Amino acid sequence: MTPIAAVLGAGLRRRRVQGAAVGIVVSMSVAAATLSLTILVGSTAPYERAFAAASGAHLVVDVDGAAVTPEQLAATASLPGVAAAAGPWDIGLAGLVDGSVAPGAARPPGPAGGRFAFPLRVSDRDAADGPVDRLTLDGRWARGDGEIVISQRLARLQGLAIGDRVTITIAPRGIKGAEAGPSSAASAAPGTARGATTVERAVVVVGTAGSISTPDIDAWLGRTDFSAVTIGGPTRLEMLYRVDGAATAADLERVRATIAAHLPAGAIVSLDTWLDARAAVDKTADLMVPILAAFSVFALAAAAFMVVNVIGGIVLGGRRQIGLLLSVGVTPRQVVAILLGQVALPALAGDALGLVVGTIASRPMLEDTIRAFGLPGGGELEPGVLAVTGIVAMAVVVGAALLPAWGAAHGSPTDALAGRATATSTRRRRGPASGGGRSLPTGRWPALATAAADALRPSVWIGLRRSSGHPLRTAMTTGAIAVGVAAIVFSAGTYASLRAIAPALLRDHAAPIRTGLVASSQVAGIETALAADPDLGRVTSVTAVDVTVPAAGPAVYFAYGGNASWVGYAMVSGRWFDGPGEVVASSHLLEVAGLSVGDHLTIGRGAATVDVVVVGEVFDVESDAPDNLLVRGDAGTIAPLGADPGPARFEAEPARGVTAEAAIAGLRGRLGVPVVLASNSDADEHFLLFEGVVVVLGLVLVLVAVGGVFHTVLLDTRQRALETAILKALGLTPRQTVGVVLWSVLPIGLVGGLIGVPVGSQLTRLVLSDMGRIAGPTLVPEGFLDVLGPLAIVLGLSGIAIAVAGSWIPAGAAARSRIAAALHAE
Amino acid sequence: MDAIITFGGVSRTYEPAGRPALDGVDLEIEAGRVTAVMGPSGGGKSTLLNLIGALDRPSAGRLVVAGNDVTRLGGAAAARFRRSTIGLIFQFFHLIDELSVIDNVALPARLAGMPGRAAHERARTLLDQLGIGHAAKRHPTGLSGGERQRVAIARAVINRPPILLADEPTGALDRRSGEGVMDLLADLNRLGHTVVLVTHDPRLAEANATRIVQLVDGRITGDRQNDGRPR
Repeated sequence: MTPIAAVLGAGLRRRRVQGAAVGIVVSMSVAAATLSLTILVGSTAPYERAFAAASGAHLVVDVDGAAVTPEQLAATASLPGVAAAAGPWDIGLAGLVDGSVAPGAARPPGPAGGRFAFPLRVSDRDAADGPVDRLTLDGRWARGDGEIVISQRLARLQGLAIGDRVTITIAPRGIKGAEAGPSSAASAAPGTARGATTVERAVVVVGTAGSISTPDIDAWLGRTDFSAVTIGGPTRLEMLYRVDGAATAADLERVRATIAAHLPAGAIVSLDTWLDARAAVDKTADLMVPILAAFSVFALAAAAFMVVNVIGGIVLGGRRQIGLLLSVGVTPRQVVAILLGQVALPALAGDALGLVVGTIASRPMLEDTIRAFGLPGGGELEPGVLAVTGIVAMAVVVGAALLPAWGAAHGSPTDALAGRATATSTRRRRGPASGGGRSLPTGRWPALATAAADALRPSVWIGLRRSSGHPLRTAMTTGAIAVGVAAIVFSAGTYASLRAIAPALLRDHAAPIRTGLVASSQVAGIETALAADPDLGRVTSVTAVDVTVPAAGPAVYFAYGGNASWVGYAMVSGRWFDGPGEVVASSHLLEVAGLSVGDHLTIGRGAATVDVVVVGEVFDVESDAPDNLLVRGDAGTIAPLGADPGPARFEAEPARGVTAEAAIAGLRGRLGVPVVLASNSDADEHFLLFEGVVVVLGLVLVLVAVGGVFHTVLLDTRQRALETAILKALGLTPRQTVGVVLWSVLPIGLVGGLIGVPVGSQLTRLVLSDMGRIAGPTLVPEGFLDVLGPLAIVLGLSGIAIAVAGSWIPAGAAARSRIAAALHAE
Repeated sequence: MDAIITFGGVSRTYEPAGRPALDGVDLEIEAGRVTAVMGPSGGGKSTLLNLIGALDRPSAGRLVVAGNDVTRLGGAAAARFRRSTIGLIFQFFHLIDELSVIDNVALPARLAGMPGRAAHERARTLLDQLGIGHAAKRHPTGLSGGERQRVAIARAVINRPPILLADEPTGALDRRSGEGVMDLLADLNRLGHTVVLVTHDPRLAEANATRIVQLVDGRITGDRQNDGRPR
């Protein structure tokens, strides 16, 4: 072993605690960075990755089973432009009977005398593998009748697992086939007749699967079971295609036309493309990007702060060792190598540990993220992320150590040797020789300050004096705490805002009872029935009418029948409309049309126009309005346009003392239209995901901040070991010793908190505004951008908590340290 | 004279299988005397001083100092004991460089609960008495070794402790400064302080101590009055 390696090894062995602290700080920082970057990368173009992995279908074509034979459809696999195909499979509607599902799964009450059945869209696909749309499968595929494979989504929503026994039956009646249940429920062909005989098949769940291309399929059945439960219902055949080339919209249209030409006219009843699916997923994924990008920046900044602070402190604290090495003939370059080695080796171990921990922690969050996008599978970790994170972390460590190490190695050995083990002896007070200490000054203000100092306990003023003893380290620690506090404020603010935004968009607190689409011929009858229902309070109809707005182009006018001020929309500015002639508009429409609240707006349909006044900007994300160009107003406002009343939906509130669920139960089956509780499970899942990411990453960053403070204080207390021993020899008790350490960090925590609060609050506003722009686009009401309000200042006190948490162990160690050993260590 | 410090079979071992730094020491030190402890390096002199000052705890035996059984003192009680009973003077002074001279001197008084103004007034008086009042607002790093040791002595006596422990108080000083320091300790002894002095220097011990104890390998190997008569 070379002498330099021997010195390095001896230094590592002697400074085990220091090395462990370096390793811990680096590992925590790397884990935080790995976690946030993995999720960020996973949220970037997630559909493309899942699509490529599953060999997804560029085209999903459903044809009328009565007009096309399976052989005819199968023959389309060899048409020009088709690179691969899978199918055809039968697609039908069935029902999942409530009484036989796993215990604990909540079910709404069924219609009087009947067993409630969730509608299912089922397929008789015979395998999970294939040339197109390979399914992700847990468990195994059904081998025959009596077995069922359900979608991952259905399993989650219904609380089902492999091994559960369920009963399936024919599909329930009703338009859209949905009385309640998952929003992805399949459609029943309107007007389909059902046989009076109820068929029930008991099956066992043998697998759960996810499909990138057919997410609407809820379950896959054996042939006989399939035929039994879909009997009498509409049948479709489904074929999946991959096309040659880049699969652009033009490519897909060419193939579609080719397929249609080989099938009877009108045989194709539905066609989905991967481009539409990708756009929908990417839009959701894009919502994640602002949050994840913010946390990634936080994590990397916190990591850099911690590492630079810690490493720089270690190098500077080893000046005496440097002086000794230089004095015995070690060259400056060799000294730098030793110092770097003492820092880099434990950092390397921490780096590796952090990558492992970050990878393990990332997997469940990545799975949740992918699932929230509606994609199958759990997502794949990107090796590139791990490599980049690991390399960048070590680069930061080496960079943080190199500069002070080089400076120290090229300094005067005498000066370095004179820098003794106490931090005190290395710092010389600048300023006039007659001043500079805590002497008794003269004058009124100094007297007041002295009186204030006199009132402080010794541990307080000794600790406060220490807090400013090392400006650079203090600044770095303050920065680290500020990052931690900003992360807390950002996490709490974003969480609170998302919790406020979700119900504001759903409006389930105001109008929880919703009907499905009602044909225009039935509107009057339904309206009368709802108005007469004793379990309902206010009711209003909503009809979507296609209109045009100058400078904005096509838009959607949502016409309300009567007073709709209670339906619960939040306003970005202005107010809800009072009656005809007044409207509220979306942020995007106002922006595109160049209008503001108070301006007049011309709404047109055909040659007819009507002039209205915009009284409010509504907080609205409406999937039925492309680009969120929409206007809401009284139905009477657009009467001059002569629009034919189209299908309408109804929104209602329960009567006082009645729950929405009870009101819905009383309506179900009587109206002939679906009546549901306002819910959006997709949005709920997205919000849950956002909130989960926010909370987890926030906690991780707080831990990183605490770890950084821990190491800084540990370094400081060790460097002040002699000073602490002197104080204890003079009479400082163990409790006072703890107090000194804590009071030395309290000002830092307070300042860090003061800095972190506005940073976190502003970041919350920026991220939420960005999310609104992506989701809507829409502006977000001011009240949702700053839900915390004055509470954010209270959260600023978390800086003190972080400082105390990180200091507690070193403070205790200082209190327990041996006085005699430290005093005679000189 | 009555014993103010009593060692009863005191041992101190730092490593489980190692040689004890003190090995069954029995010793009584009278109040108001200057007792010098001498011996080769590693003999246990500093350990003996540390035990008296409750800076360390015996591994065995009983040690009573000014009526306090220091073997039973916990951390806080030991700190309060030191504030009121012990004044410490070290070879390398152990002043806090970030504090001014007067703040260093006032520190033990502040720790004992004396208000800051009163502590500073008493510190000022002591510094004047020791001839270094002019350096009150300066920092220790700007003083000579002799001046720093005077500051350390002032700090050691500000709470008027009955016992002063001096571990090689002249070890880092030139001869003249060292003599000045020893004169101060002698003056303090005349004022009633009990002084226990660790030194390598036989001339210093002979000139200042009324009793000389020899400590070799943790055991007392000699103990005589300074008039040459054995005890």
